[in-house]
Amino acid sequence: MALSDAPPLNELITAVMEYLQTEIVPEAVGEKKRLATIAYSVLAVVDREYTLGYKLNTDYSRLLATLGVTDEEELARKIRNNEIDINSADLKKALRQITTMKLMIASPAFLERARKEAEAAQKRQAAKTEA
Amino acid sequence: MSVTTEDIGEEAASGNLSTGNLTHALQQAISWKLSDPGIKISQLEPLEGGSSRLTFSFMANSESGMDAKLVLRMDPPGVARPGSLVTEANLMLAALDAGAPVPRVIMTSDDESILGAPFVIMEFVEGISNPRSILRDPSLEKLRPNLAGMLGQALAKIHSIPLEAAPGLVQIDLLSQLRNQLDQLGEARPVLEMAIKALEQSRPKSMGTTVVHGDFRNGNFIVANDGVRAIIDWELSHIGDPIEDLGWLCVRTWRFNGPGPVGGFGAYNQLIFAYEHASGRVFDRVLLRWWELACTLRWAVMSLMQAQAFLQGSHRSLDKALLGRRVCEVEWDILALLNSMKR
Repeated sequence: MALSDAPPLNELITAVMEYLQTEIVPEAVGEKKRLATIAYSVLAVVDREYTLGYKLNTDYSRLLATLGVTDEEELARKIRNNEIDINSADLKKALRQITTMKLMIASPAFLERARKEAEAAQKRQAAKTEA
Repeated sequence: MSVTTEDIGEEAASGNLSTGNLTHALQQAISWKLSDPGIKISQLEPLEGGSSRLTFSFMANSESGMDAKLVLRMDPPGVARPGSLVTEANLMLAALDAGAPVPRVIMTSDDESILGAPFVIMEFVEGISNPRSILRDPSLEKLRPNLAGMLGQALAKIHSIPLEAAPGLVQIDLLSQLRNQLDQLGEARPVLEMAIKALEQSRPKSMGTTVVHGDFRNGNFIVANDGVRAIIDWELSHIGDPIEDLGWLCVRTWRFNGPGPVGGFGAYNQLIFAYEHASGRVFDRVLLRWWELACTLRWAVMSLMQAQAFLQGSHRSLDKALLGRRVCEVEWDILALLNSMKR
């Protein structure tokens, strides 16, 4: 049960996004159009954080715990002070996962494109090794 | 090259930057410079550009037959950085002498009484500079396959500028600068710490000490189907390792989703071969990858600094707000580069 009445937060955000997309962006020109498009993107981030944030934050804390730290600040300090080996497979895997989770909220289109590129590069590498 | 207050009066010294005032002040400055009192300035219009400077295009005509489209670049009045634009203008002149494609500088001055802020006036170069147009415009079909090589040649020319011909440039060791900037940000990020550690552990031998353009990327060159017409935006120029310019050109952000690793349009080998051939500096893909990683880290740090300008209230804008959330894109690229360095 939540204190606030309907509509829920994500519905409110979506309503503003729809307004920007149908009423503002098509008619705006130049700098106004560019900024309206960015405003839409900012709200899309808010919407995804609202929907995915809770679960991803739980996963994030668990990942950090496997590295023996409570936050990224502490992890960064340990890397800087040579207390964690930067070649550690666990470290690399965790940072990859954390970055992926951030991208799921901030920039899923980038994530999809980058994954495709990485797959293609892997295939090229495999073909090279075979040849 | 400098002009004094006595020469052209104090019309613009008030700092009031209306188009009318600026046109009038420009007319006086150019008339003085070219010793032609009949010059008329018209069509003063702002030009798009991502830099911190104000940029305008305008027409200069006179009865004696002058008919030229020119560009004015100036510091925003009130936040002038004395010396900086004049250094940039002198460097552009030196680049022209070295045979690099660059707009011809007509006049420059640090004297704020002339136009209200330090400025440089140069010729307008016709062509295409929008990165997405460079990647997709059908009129550039013939150019695109050769562009990476042409840029390698242009870079070799820039890197051949004698250091004494470019006074006022600061020497920057990119890695030390990044370390300092990361410390000053006060926001420790594991991926960035990992990157700088890896860079420190694998630092390659220096390829020399030369002029470095500092912002040599898709968006800062003007091209036409017959070639590279001009390299612009010399604001971040410094003295450093020449391969830094090649690394920056390859950073993924400047590919604008194009398929080629060099600016979105070219292959690594095209750039390397052309540059090696023109400069005589011989290196391999591993060295370029080190610089690409260092430059990608540089972009992450620059993005964070801009996001901080938003957070601290000195620059409230939607772009800068979103840029903070996009640093993870650059971190993804850093992790991918770190992975490929091990191969």
